[in-house]
Amino acid sequence: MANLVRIGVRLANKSLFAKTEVTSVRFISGKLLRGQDDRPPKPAPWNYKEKSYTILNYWTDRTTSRLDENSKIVVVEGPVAAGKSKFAKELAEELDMLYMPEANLDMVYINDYGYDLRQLDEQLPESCRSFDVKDFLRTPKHRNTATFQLMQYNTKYSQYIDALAHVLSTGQGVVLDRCCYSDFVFVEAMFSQGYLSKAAYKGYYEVRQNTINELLRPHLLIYLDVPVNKVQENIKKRALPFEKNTQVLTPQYLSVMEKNYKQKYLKELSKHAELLIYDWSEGGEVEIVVEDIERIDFDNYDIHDPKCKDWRRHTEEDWGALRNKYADHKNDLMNYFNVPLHHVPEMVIDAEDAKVYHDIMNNAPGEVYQRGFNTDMGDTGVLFKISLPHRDTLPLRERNLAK
Amino acid sequence: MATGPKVATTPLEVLSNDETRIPSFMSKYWAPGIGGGSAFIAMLITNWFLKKPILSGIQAHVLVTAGGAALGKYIDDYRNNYFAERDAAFRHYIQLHPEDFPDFTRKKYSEVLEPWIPIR
Repeated sequence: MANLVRIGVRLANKSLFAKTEVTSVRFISGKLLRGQDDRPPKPAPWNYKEKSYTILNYWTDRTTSRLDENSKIVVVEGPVAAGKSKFAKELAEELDMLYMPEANLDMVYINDYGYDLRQLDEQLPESCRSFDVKDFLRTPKHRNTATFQLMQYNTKYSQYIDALAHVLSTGQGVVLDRCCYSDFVFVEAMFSQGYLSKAAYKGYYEVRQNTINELLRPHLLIYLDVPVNKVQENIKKRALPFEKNTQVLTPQYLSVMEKNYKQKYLKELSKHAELLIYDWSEGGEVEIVVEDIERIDFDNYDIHDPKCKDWRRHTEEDWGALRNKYADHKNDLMNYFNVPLHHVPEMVIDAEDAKVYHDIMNNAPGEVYQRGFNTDMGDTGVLFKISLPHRDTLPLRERNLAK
Repeated sequence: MATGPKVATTPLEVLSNDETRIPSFMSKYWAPGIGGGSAFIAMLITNWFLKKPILSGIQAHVLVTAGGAALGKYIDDYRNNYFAERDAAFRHYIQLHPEDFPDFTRKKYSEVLEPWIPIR
């Protein structure tokens, strides 16, 4: 059906299908190189969080009109405590991009009204309780570890969709601190130490396979390399309360992570993304990285070159369809997570527990009704309000390191 | 003494309104009532499924209820017109072919029932 509509539009509006090449005048440019206000004027950013962008909008609002040399997805990767978030934040600042903090379960457990659903744990059966990184580091062999890892992947995936929607709707680039593509590194490490069962391990990859191909891979990958012994030193130095007394972050665990990062992840994803690797054991200067980025040419690839292939689109309508997919159809994409994993015992919750969970969760503060309809949480004008929240955009919330 | 409706003596009288039966209050309002009522309930259910308070967006409830009532009224009117037209056609036919539709002759039950002879 959608294809019929596309053909109809193709007949009606030829210009949407004329070949459009997004070629930038220059490469990604940092603050210094960019100077002040010397860019050609662009339309104002599209508020994709509140406004829909449908096939009717393709006609008037051209997606490519906002895309420029800095409309890129940059992913910063690296081992634990490498200084990724600080680096990513500074890099985003330099390149005038949006910094997205590493996806964490605080984004999920704290609801739209700021109520932390983890407060309800005491009333819940054990199988339904919240399980966060902190819980994992404390009790890695807990039954909820598998669920936790899938939720981590789910959150990263959700965040990546937001990143794509942001780039396509506003033209501003995004710097991500880790992403859904690298999440399997943790699964490998957990599995190697026996924290995940074989069934859960396989189940994770089933879900990953079912979801990951819906996305556009990043343009640029920056890997901050820190050797394992230095990672352990860094962990000791930053002395986070939940990382201090953990049995998880052993040299074995960290080296499995490193091995998978380098030999599987970087190898696989660098076929598509440009790759920069830095020895970050003593930290480094962001300016130098920016200079390296400024030298990368993202435009002149051969037609069959796999590099940045996901981003080579040839018609305006193609761009419009992508933007519509990530901005308006996030829920449809998230539905690909519905892979039945009934063969993984630790991921199955029995009916009685589930009943208790749903009864409590559906009556938690701010969870009774949709966002914007909870009078007890201070929403007003509910009687005359019709429109539902347009989109579930994850908040840009840093992980709470205190507890 | 209470009298029932007049007993028709000709086929034409069967098909014509002799104004002795007054339509009840319910017969006038049941169709828009059911249309409007089910539309309203449908809106409540929709809100419940969408996790909204059931009465939120009350202006939509009002509009949809009015629409449902209008639809009910329209269907009822359509049905009434359909039967009125059908009866008119029958009446016209009877007027054109009076020889096929003689007046009713009153019979006693003894003329209608056949003699009953028990056989074992």
